[in-house]
Amino acid sequence: MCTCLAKASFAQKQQLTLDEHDKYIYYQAVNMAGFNADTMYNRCLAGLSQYYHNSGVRNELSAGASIAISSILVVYNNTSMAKHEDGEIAYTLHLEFKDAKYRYWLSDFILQPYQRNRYSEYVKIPGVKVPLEKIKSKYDNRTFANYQEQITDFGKQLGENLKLYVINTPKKGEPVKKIDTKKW
Amino acid sequence: MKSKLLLFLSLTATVYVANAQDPAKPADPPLTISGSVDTYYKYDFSGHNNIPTSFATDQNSVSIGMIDLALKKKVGKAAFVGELGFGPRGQYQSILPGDGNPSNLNTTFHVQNLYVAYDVTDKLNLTAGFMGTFIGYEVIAPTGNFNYSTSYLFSAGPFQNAGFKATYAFSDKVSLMAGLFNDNWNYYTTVHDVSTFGAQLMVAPVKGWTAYLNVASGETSGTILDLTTAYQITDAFKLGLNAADYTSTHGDLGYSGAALYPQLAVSSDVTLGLRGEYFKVKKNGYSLVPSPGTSVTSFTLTANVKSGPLTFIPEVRLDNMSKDDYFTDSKRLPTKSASQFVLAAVYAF
Repeated sequence: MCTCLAKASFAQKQQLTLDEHDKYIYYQAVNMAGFNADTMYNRCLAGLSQYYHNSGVRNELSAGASIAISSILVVYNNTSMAKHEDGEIAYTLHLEFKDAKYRYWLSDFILQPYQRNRYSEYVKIPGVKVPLEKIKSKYDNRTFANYQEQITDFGKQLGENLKLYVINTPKKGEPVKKIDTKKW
Repeated sequence: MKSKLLLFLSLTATVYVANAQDPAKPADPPLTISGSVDTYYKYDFSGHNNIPTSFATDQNSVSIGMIDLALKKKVGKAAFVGELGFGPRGQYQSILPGDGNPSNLNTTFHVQNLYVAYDVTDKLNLTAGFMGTFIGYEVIAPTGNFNYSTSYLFSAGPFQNAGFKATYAFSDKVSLMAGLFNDNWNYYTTVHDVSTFGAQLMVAPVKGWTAYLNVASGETSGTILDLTTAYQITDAFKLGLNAADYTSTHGDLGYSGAALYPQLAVSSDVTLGLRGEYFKVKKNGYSLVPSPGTSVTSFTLTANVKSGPLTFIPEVRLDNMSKDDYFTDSKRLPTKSASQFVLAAVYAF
């Protein structure tokens, strides 16, 4: 049974795919019956604005008919407990909406590797930027697989958030429920 | 039993549903663990020790550097770093044992870095504790250096400063640090007071080029002016430079010098580098070699051969002094020059 679970877990791991320009991309299209495009756009824009504001990482958001956000994802040298920052991957998140469906994708991945400085902090190596497509040749397959896993995990988590942004009605103005301990 | 199981399943489902209703918020970075382990073999061609490098000191011996362990955690705007070094490199070869008190000579705290930091704003950071010095090009941790043996400038300058500092980032290209540090370098505690003023101006004029102008000055510690800069000119070629001048407050003691660090990546796993250094002790001397008024020119040819987290560092070094009062040849007769070979291995994690 454990073997089956392990196999199932392995099979569920997503991988990045190549787009028509031979660039890596994380792409998802989502059906959301009963929601119109404007509603989904507004809810996702509000949710993402709050998420990126709270994240503390630099980002640029542009919104029109679609949403585009440029930001960074800090990647670690491995996914075990003993780990440290290995670099940051710049990416662009795109979202487009139609009635009853939307799609989002992450693309334009560029790694800026970190190095440890004299204060035991990991900081960017000045002047070094590596497109994700060149990671295998500049480093190795294992490094690429590690970064790919962290990007797809982020993309998956982002997708779950987007669904919840769309489903959840904005709670602005709702009274906070309080318990009156004098009544029971 | 059955009802307990149902209750457990019900609670689990409730928790899952509750979580599922809230979009995930950005998580704080995890506790990070990093460090290194280093070992080396050195052979001085005279058959005995000559070149006074800080580490790689043992002649014709397979010896150890240290195991370096660093922990870092940041929650919101507050962070700490604690870094410990166990082994000659991280203890008696680099920092004073204990708190500098003679009665604690056999005690060591092993500490390389131990500080807390707080981001007041996106641009202003406050830091206090015992920190790697902001002066100079080379550092104690072997992962921070290209060459395994160290320069005269490194050995003569500060290794750590304890104190309080504020760093303001005007932009990605300009930042300024200013702080007050303990009166003596490298000590965990003050001898008299917190009276060394330190400042660092960082500028990054073009992509790949960063320069640090440093000053540390105090009644007890003296005054050191330092320029440390590195320029990644192409993907394969990097050029570094360090220049410093130190004057003690007690007479005209001190030193000055400069070192150039050209490095060329010949493949993804192999980089070759040269360190050329000129170092001169002022006429009234300094506590370290060479002797008063003497200068030394040093050339170190080093390769970094990487295999995953492991780096092999073969190195050949030739030093030439202006006087023959320190180096000795294979017959123990005075000579102006000395040369050595080092093969080191550094594992970073």
